[in-house]
Amino acid sequence: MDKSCKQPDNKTRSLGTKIFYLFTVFIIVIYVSFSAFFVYYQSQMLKEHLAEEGRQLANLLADNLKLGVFAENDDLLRGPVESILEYDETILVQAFNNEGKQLISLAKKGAQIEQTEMSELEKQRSILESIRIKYAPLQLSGRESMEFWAPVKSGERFTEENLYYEYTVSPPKEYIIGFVRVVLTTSILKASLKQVLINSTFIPSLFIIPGWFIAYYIVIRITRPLKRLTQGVKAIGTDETFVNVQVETKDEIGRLATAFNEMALSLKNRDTENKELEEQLRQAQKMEAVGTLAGGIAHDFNNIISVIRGYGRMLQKNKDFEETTRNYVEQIVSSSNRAAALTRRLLTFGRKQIIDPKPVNINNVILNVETMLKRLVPENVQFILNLSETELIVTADTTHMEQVIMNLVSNSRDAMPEGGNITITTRLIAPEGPVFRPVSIDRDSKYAFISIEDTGTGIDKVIKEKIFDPFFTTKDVGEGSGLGLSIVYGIIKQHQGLVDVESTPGQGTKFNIFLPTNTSQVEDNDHIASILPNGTETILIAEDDEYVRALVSSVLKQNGYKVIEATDGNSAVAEFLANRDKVSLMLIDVFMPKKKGTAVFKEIRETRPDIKAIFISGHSTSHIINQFEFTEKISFLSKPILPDELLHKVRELLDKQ
Amino acid sequence: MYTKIINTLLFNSALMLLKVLVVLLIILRPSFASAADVVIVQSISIKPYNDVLKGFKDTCKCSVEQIVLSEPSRANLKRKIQKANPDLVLTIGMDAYRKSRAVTSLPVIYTMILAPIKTISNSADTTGVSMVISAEKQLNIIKKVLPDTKEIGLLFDPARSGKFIRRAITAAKTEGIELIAKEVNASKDVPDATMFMKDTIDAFWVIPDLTVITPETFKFMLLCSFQNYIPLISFSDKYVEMGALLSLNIDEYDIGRQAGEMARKFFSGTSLKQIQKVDARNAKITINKTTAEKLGIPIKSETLKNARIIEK
Ligand SMILES: Nc1ncnc2c1ncn2[C@@H]1O[C@H](COP(=O)(O)OP(=O)(O)O)[C@@H](O)[C@H]1O
Ligand SMILES: [Mg+2]
Repeated sequence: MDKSCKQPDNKTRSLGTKIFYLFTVFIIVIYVSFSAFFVYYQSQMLKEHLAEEGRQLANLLADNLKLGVFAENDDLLRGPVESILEYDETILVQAFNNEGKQLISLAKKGAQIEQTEMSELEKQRSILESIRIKYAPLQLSGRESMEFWAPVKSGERFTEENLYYEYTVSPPKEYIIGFVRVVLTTSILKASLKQVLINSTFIPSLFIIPGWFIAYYIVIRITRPLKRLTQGVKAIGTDETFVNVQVETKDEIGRLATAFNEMALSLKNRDTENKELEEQLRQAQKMEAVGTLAGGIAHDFNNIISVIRGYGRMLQKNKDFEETTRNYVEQIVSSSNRAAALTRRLLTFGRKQIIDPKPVNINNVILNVETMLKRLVPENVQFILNLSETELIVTADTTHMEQVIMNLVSNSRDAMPEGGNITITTRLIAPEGPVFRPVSIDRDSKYAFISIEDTGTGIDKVIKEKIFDPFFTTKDVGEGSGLGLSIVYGIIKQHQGLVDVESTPGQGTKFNIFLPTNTSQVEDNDHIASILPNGTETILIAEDDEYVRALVSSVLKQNGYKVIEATDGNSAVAEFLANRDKVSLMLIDVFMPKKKGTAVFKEIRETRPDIKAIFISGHSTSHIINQFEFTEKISFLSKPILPDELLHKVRELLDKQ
Repeated sequence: MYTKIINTLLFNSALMLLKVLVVLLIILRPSFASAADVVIVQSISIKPYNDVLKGFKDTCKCSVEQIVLSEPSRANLKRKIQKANPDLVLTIGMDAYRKSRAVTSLPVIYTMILAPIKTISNSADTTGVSMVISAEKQLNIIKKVLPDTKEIGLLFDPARSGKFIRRAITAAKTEGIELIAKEVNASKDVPDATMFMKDTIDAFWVIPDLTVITPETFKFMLLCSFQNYIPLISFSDKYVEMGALLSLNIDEYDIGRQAGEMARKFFSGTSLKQIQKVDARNAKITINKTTAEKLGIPIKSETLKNARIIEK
């Protein structure tokens, strides 16, 4: 037989079953050993009892038969013998005289008397001899019977001396005058032993069987919560909808169930949290990718536009053109202006826009645009400002911040064609607690919180995922560009901030912005003068893009400056060294082949520490800015370069001492 | 002066002391010659025997020396008797008689033995008082105490009590009583014999016959007595205490006196041969009142007055 064929089930028995089996085995062992002990004890008791009865009967008979044996008188013998025979167990009673002659022998009717191997006479003689020697009763046990022998003793005969008077020579002498034999059957004993066996088997079972049921019930009660717990664990494992495990008791199992429920809850929470974070990450990655793409395109496009616009402007100034030609030029210039604006917006979103961050109070920024905002919204829209009393100083580009507010407010307005409320709230918050826990935020610093809330249409869940995408719009062609929120996103991101949206379709939308606060003082912005400045100084231009270089060079030359051009970093250094005394200012493209703008500047500053420079870049250049202290000798210009802006910056720097 | 007086005093007292010592020595000295007239050999030291001794002493007025056989310190009986060198030996009890007779040829007066058989009657220098009260006397008393008695049952071993029975039968006739005496040759025949006669008798008379009386047979007879309302007449207090109605006891002190009188005759020159062996002349009555009540036998107050009463 193959042993491996055994049921593998045995190993997967439940704890309850095991306990129950154990209990059962325990009970059976106890039961059997108790019964065995009890039966054994009882049988010993009964045997001892029978033996005791036999001895007593034999002694009683011996005592009563004194005269009968003495007189060897059948009448005197019969009475006592018959009375002994009346006992249930007695099957044979005999009496013998001292010589071993049988005086009387009465047997119970129908009783079977066991035959011994020894002949009756032989046996009897040896028994009598042993009694004579021991002077005491004797007991023999057969299979079916027990027999008891006792000597019949008589007091000593009187002598002349004590016939008259009572006196004793101690000890009083007795002598054996005969014997009695009482045979008891053990069949009655066996019957009652059988009864004992039955009793000791059935009576305990009367207790054991209910006990069994009780034990079963108890085991079930103990293991039921465990089973539930197991099911709960399985449910979590297989991702079924988890229902709290019922806590029934306050014992260890109950506490386990409670702990388990708590664990399940926190697992669930963590799960949703993880999903949210994942979603956020995905969104951020998407934005990053789109931003990079848009920024890359916009950067190159910007250079092209700069050239178009630059030459367009120059053409505009030419008075020689006739009316139609001038009209064309106007068209070119305005279109290129629009293209430049679009590019700039894309750059802003792509964070390729050069920002000019200064410590500003956000509340002031909002108050500055308030009038404009009110003009933006129709009469049926209520405008509510709910600004914090404390100053919310952030390092930010005011223009960009204004842009953010404007974009959000216009979206809210669009979402409320039938009117409603727009609430702008600001607050200083510490990022603690569950309300606010974006991962990217530094928990040690405080944040300026700006929310723009409306009672408009709200945003559908599917749409919500895409609203920050550039060119995503739900509005009709011409009404929406799809760039509003992309720009907001880009600006806030560039300011190390965070923007998110809460919305309930049909009820309204709330945009939340978090910006890291700054403790510095707020600077007031001066406005740029509107007259185009000019000069005669020599300016070195280091720019790899020949169109941009040509544009900048022609703009400067037109306004009286002398220009030296360099196409890369190395030639820039060479040109500078050649004209070391003539050059008053340098225009350096940050990213150039062979040698980067910063490196060029560092090299040149070693020979001329007082050299003034304007860095040009199409990229966000905060890291470049950080490389140098912003002294009066260094400034910054972002692409696309506008001729007016270029001339202002150049003049401004040259005039500084 | 004083010293002289003291010296005289001391001398006198010393002399006195010496005299006393000499007298004491004479008194306490071991007897070399005949120290006692009679040596009394006693089987055991029990009150009835001592009573005999007392009666003897009171009557004989002779010097005696006592030897108790049962006492552990006893020396050789023969040497003791020789040492005492008496003229006469008094024995109290059967054992004392047998042993004394075996060791000495001196004249012996016996007491406290049952009707003597061969040894005693053949012996020359022997006489004495038996423990037997004469049949006539006993029957006379029985008739007085139990006047309604017509038939009295009795068991006897002819070898032991044949002579007594013969006299008793004659005596009974004079008292108007029929004595149904049945011979038994062995103790084991007693129960059967008792059963045999129980329906025909008014009273059962137990005589001191060692064949008839054994511890078992007496118990049986007693049982029979109670079962059949037959009063049991015995010869010793011992049996009355066990439940017999009545006993006619010997008077031990008087037996002593009888023996004492014999000794006096002997000392006055009469040979023992010439002194008749006698039975006990006096009888004391003991009655078990409880038994009497049980058996429903009325006892006259006159009888009760003269009897020892046992209530058990
Ligand atoms: N406050 C708002 N309420 C409802 N929907 C809005 C809200 N703000 C933005 N949206 C949705 O987000 C889209 C993108 O907005 P935006 O980037 O500003 O582009 P545009 O406004 O040009 O459509 C909108 O078309 C609109 O569907
Ligand atoms: Mg918009």
